[in-house]
Amino acid sequence: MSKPAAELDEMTALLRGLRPELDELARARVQARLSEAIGAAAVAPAPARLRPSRVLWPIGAAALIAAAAALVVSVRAPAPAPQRAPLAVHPPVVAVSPPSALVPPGPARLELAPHALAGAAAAGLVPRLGQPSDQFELPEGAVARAAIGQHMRLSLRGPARLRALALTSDRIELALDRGELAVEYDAGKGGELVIHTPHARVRVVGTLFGVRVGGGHTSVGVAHGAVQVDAGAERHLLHADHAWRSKPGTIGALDRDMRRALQAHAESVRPPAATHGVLSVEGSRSGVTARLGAQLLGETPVWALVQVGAVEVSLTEPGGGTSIVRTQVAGLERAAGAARDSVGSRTQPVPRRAAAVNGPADRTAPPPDTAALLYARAEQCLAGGDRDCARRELEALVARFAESAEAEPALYELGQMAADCAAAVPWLERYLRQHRNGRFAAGARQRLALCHAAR
Amino acid sequence: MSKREHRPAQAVERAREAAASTRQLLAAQADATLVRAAQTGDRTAFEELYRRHVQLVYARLTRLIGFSPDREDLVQQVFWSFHLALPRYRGDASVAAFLHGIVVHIAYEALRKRRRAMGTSKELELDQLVAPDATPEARARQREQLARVFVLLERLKPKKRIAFVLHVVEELPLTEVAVLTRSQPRAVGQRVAYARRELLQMLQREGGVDE
Repeated sequence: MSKPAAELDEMTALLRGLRPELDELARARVQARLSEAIGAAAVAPAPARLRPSRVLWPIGAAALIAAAAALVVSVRAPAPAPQRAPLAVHPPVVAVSPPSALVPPGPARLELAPHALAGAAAAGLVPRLGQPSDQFELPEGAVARAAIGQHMRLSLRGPARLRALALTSDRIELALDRGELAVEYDAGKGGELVIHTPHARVRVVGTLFGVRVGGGHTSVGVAHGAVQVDAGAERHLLHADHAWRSKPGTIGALDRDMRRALQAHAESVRPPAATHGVLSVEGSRSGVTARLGAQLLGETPVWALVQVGAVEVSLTEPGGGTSIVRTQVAGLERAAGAARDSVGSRTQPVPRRAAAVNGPADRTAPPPDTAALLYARAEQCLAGGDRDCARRELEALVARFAESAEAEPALYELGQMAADCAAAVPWLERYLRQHRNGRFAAGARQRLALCHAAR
Repeated sequence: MSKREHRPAQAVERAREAAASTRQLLAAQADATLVRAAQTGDRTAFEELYRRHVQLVYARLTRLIGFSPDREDLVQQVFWSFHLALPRYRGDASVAAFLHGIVVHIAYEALRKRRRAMGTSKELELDQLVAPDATPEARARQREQLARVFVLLERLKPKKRIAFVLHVVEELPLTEVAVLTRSQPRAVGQRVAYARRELLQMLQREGGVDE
């Protein structure tokens, strides 16, 4: 063989032996993008071609805007001037955050529990929130908890400074200059959430996570879900129980302090309670002054936390004309899909319950078992090396779905998985009784023959 | 040794072979089960399919297009195409074969687009792929060879490159390559022959320069 031919053969063999592996982070990153795309495709027409997430977000955003538009309800009010777009008053699209005025001076602990919110609302302190220019400063030891929309709850621990850069229904951008922020965020309900720190940009995939800025560096820790951290040219995808530190730029285990903070956040009382709901006054016109009775809410767009029930909002145009809008504010904990009220506003969907840190990952009701599902679960167990778990799933399958197509391989697999002949024989005999000419009959007979020979 | 003593060993061997083929059957059947669930909108099932096949897809993509930095995006494209194709998937081919077809198509498109933009292999990544127990000298040589083979492959036209990799490297029969590339077996054979000839000429030229 000539030298080039031998060389080519050698190279071909080298290429054949190549076993490149996608590392865990990249695998998870692709999976997260795919889930995101599939989720977006479930509510919007599927894009013809998948691009990386920077292209997918607008699709998700478009779907969210469409969903938000569907929430805009009719308003019972004097007819506005025909050439002007009507204002919409409805329960929230984007809602409540605590104003810095609520934070007492000096070391203090502030929990915006329902009673605190009620008191604050009564004192007229809570309205006019959620403006992009809002800045929250907390002194040492103070903790502020708040919800933004239905998909984000946050706890901010002082000393801290948090600035809102953008607060729209499809994009929330916050800047954490210092302090500790714990966030529970459901990306399925909201749009993009980005948190900027002096050392990193944190893009949230949907999770319970924390960001800490102090001592010249940033730490990001994740309790549930995943977070993407961009620091300079580096990009990391953080998963549950992992933390990233800007110094030295490595990923490690979630530290005890961050875990404790996330746990406290997860277990904290949700700020919105059944007694209060969010009133949103927004539309294409801005600068309209909204009042709730004698209480000034602010200029549109404005969101306010108010007591549930019928409310009457007066809207004063910049030119001086006033109109009255009546609507019904629903409590934040009312069930999703409840009947529309008299003016057609929707009640709030039930906020997702906070899951404890390290609690069960699945927060939704499990789907009903089917043979296919049990079989797939058994496969998952096997893939994870848990044979006992696989055996349990398969046993449940053959007991509950004996007539299903999956029962045949399940019976055979149970026979093959059995540790010894005493355990294997009953399954294999049952297999052959039910599937004498089945696909795995030959294998079952062989194993039975071996077992009989061993006796 | 008596005939009777032979039997258990032979039977064990046969049982092992049967178990291996059964595993394959079960894997294919589990794939089919997962596909059925995914077709009804079960995202967990789709994620499981992703987990089961992602490494194979990645390895095939790497062999086809080299150490391109956009492999991660291409893996994503492969599974997205698979997701879009799920309603049409009837189980005529195994999931792995179906995915292989998508991989080949996407690799071809990627190669066509960046043919002139030579993909350079990252030394670190190459280092992770060469035999870990080899001596430093052997590792360096393997690394060099891998980089060289991808540079050579990069000079081939995409269709020839794909045919060569699938037939010569992955050792797929021409008929199967023809199905994957939507061509005639004869055309595939010609592409492989041309690719081989061009690669040999390249090596010869390089050898001549060296000498």
